[in-house]
Amino acid sequence: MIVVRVKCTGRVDVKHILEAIRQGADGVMVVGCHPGECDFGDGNMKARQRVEFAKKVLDKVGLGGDRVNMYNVSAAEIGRFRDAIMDMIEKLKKIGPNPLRG
Amino acid sequence: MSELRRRVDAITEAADSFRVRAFFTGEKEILEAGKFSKEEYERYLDYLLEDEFRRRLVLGVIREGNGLTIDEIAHRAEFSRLEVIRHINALRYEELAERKSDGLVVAKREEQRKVPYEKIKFIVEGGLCTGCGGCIAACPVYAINFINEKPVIDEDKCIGCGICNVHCPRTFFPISLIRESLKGSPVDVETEGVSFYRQAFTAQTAKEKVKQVCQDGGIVTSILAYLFDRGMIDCAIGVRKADEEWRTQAALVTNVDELLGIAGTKYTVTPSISLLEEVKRRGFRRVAVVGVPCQIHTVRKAEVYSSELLSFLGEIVVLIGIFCMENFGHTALREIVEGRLGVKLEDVAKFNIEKGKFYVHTMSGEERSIPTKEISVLARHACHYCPDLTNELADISVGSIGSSKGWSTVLIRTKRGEKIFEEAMKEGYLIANSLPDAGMELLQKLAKGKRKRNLEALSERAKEGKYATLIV
Ligand SMILES: Cc1cc2nc3c(=O)[nH]c(=O)nc-3n(C[C@H](O)[C@H](O)[C@H](O)COP(=O)(O)OP(=O)(O)OC[C@H]3O[C@@H](n4cnc5c(N)ncnc54)[C@H](O)[C@@H]3O)c2cc1C
Ligand code: SF4
Ligand code: SF4
Repeated sequence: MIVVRVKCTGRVDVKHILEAIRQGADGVMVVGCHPGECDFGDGNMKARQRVEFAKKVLDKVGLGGDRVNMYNVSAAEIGRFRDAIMDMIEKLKKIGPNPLRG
Repeated sequence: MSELRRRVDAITEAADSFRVRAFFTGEKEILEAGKFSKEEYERYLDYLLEDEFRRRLVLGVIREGNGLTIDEIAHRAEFSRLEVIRHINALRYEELAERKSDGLVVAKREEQRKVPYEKIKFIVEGGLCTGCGGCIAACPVYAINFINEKPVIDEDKCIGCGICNVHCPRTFFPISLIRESLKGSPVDVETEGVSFYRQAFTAQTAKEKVKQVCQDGGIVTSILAYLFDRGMIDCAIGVRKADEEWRTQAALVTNVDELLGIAGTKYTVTPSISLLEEVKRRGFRRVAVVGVPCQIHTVRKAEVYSSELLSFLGEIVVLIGIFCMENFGHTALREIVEGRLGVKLEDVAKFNIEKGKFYVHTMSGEERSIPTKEISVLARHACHYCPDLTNELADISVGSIGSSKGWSTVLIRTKRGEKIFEEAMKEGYLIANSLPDAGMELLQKLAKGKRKRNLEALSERAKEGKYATLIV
């Protein structure tokens, strides 16, 4: 697993998500603040919109839109973060490994 | 390279292409502008992405090959030939691919791009804008207004989506592709001068009311009246005289009375295609469009390159194209009428071009004229680069050249046009005889002359290093 730290999920672009998948990542998890709690205005809303778009793009080429998911978790919610990871792992198990790798 | 990798590369590039990005990032602005509903927005975004995806797949094939024919590309991409041509036209315009003199298509490096693709500003500033109004109808955020005879972009509103650029007939124009998609029936006559047609007539209205207001044979108005009477259209787009001094206004008419009010030729550029937007806004659907060649070109280009957006705006029932040698701005018209002919615009009852002369008929029954040769320099600049006299891509083309006074020359070009014309004739709206050979010969000659002259002007322009419309 590779963790990329960004100041705000609003910085995450469709291009970044797709590039990660293109280079062989099984999935991309975008973890941001709760709606309405963005320090930068509407960064997390933008991120959700982009994740939705990236899903559409991945579905179009049959890689599976579920490889990318957005989760809203605040810094204090360790439990919620764990649940998010478990959810992501479940989803990826269902789709299987990224056929672009290897 | 694996098939999947190829597809993923193409979709990644597509998702990152400027049109898709701008449309995607501009969601809020687009929905706030209110032209498109959320559902239409989603559908259009999907259309853009799909279109760009398929284009990049074609580009992928071109990049892998080292000079391929269209058929080879179609075979490798597993796309139809027409679709490949469609994409290659756009790739050539965007300078991502080029066609070499031997006909083979090769990829170009993105850094070599020189033409700005985002907006129509360079078309307007370069004097190529015809003033058709297509960009205004297409812009999803109402950023374009027609001011002082040209489209002006409000940069605060513009989201840089480039849709105006796609709709503009003067950025690139896919004439062969449109021709190929329109004809294709064995009875078509193919000519060098007036392009393809199914039948040629000289015709006249059978309605007294039309005779009183029309320009020549009143064919345009008669066909539209028939369509209104039969309930086949909700509205029609044309041009009306807006004031005493012959300023014009784009007109959307919804019944025969209003239709009679906009008959007759106004020699003034009017961005009436912008009204496709009003068709949608006012909740109409089925529309007939009357226009000079560049305006019909705009609608045809949208049918091929932006069908999804066009389908939101309205359903085109028929395109009636009028012949056009050249057109003028209001300022130029004033110069001709007041400056050269010494007649006040408000005293003019009718304009007419006949046998190489521009005529003005005054309210008091006087007639003045000037050879068209002398006023050509005053025509809209873009007209000097337009190859089309007879409105080659309309369903039905109507003009006066080739017929006697009070009659119209009519070229029926498509099946859809043929059906409407024949019905209107059967139902007593008009009478028609086949066009005499002499009329056709004259028309051919003038049409060829215009094409030759203006295509030469276009290539001169290219030689000077200015942008010249890519006609493919
Ligand atoms: C700028 C211009 C140049 C022309 N040049 C030639 C020419 O060189 N040779 C030739 O044979 N014919 C030319 N015509 C066409 C001709 O003047 C008649 O419009 C045509 O013969 C149709 O006649 P009608 O009696 O059937 O039209 P009508 O029944 O009178 O209907 C005319 C229709 O044209 C629409 N219209 C009027 N002005 C414009 C405009 N500026 N832009 C778009 N639509 C408009 C009206 O709204 C109306 O619906 C030109 C027309 C225009 C507008
Ligand atoms: S002006 Fe052109 S580029 Fe700008 S928003 Fe309108 S259609 Fe898009
Ligand atoms: S030619 Fe038509 S679409 Fe192009 S810039 Fe002019 S008005 Fe707009």
